[in-house]
Amino acid sequence: MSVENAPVVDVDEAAIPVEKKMYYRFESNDKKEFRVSELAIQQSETLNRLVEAMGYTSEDVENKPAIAIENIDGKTLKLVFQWCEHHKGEAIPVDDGSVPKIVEIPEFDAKLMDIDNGLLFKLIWAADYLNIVQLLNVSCKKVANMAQGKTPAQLRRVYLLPSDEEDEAAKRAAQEAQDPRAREVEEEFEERKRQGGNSFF
Amino acid sequence: MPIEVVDIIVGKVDAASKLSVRKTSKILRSIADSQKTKCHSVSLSLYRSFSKLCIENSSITYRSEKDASSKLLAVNEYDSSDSDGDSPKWKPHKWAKMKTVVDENHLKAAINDFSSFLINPNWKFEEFTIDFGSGQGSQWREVKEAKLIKALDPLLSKFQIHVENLTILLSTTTFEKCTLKFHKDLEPWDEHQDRNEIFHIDDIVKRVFRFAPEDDSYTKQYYDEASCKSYTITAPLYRDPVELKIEHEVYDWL
Repeated sequence: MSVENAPVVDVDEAAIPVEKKMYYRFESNDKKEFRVSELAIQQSETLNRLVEAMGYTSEDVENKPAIAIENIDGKTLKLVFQWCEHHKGEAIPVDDGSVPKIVEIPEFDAKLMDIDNGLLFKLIWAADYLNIVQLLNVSCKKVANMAQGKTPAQLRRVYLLPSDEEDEAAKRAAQEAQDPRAREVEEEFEERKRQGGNSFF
Repeated sequence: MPIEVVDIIVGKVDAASKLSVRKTSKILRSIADSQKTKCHSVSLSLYRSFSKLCIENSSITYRSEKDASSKLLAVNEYDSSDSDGDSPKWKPHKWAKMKTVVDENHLKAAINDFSSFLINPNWKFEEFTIDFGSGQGSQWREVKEAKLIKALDPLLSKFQIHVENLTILLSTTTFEKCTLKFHKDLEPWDEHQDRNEIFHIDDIVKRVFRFAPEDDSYTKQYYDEASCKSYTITAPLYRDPVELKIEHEVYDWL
């Protein structure tokens, strides 16, 4: 197991005040370990609920195995926890379902998200999975900004979107792969049409 | 990507880019159309050689690829927004985002895009302008206006447009052919009229002209006691085209 010693925050033991802050240990699916402050974890509704339910003491955190986050790799989790540490203590926005709010991307977030599209995709997925509302907001805003001034064809290239025709073809292929009988029925139907019949009835 | 995340992303796309997003696939069209979108300003300008759709501070120019002059027209735009009274400082107009769509029939392409969100009840507009070639020669207007109005009339007459301010620039000959239905809060002319009544533009203009002086622009304030709202109609009449402007404001002291 590779341990990333305090990749998110540098823990200086001498500088820790008398009342010790709790730092939880998390492990990514590629066995990278991270120490994250209790306050930073509050940015993630999922992790916050998880640690609350576990009820770990400071000793538990050190003695028990790191909490495994099996769906997220170390590279992505590092970005997630860097973001959480930077924004710890900030209010979590509440979506009231009205017209979408204007989202400004702070400088720190912009630098953090200066990454390739593949990693950005993973970051958004992680923010959604861990329910980190503001990280999801800014990362989605970054993706939304990519659409500016683009034609539909350019958007398909940027977002790797299939056209309706490609989508339909993929669905048909998937259906046929799942149900060979469906293909046989379709071929039988086509044959009957060629022979002059309109339907099975 | 989970559908709820796609929904968030599309929700953060600017209004002009939503037109492109909704053309990429059925699912994105469905998401884009289902979201509430509020626009500060939208204008559609239909000219002889190009058309232009401006949404907020983004613009889409529609032109025929073969028409080189339209390209020059579309690019060389100037504004004087920094002018201080008597000494206008003309400078190239800077759009935040500017896109050009090449289509053999630029009018049709522009009206199609315009209609795609105009008829959507989830889109709301604060300022709304339609310019029927006001900067063009009268000869072009006579030939094309009827065709343009015919294309836009079903849109403007069948659907309720949620708009706070409306400006229409067109020549007087086209008024009688266009029907416009206003949002119920935007009927300043006659408080005895039933709400949601369909107004003929011809009728609206007659009302404006009835009070208008012959030699200068005309402005009249209307105050609707029922809704406690004030409206202004402005009709500069000194030369074609006529501008009909309806402004809506709510006074703080009420």
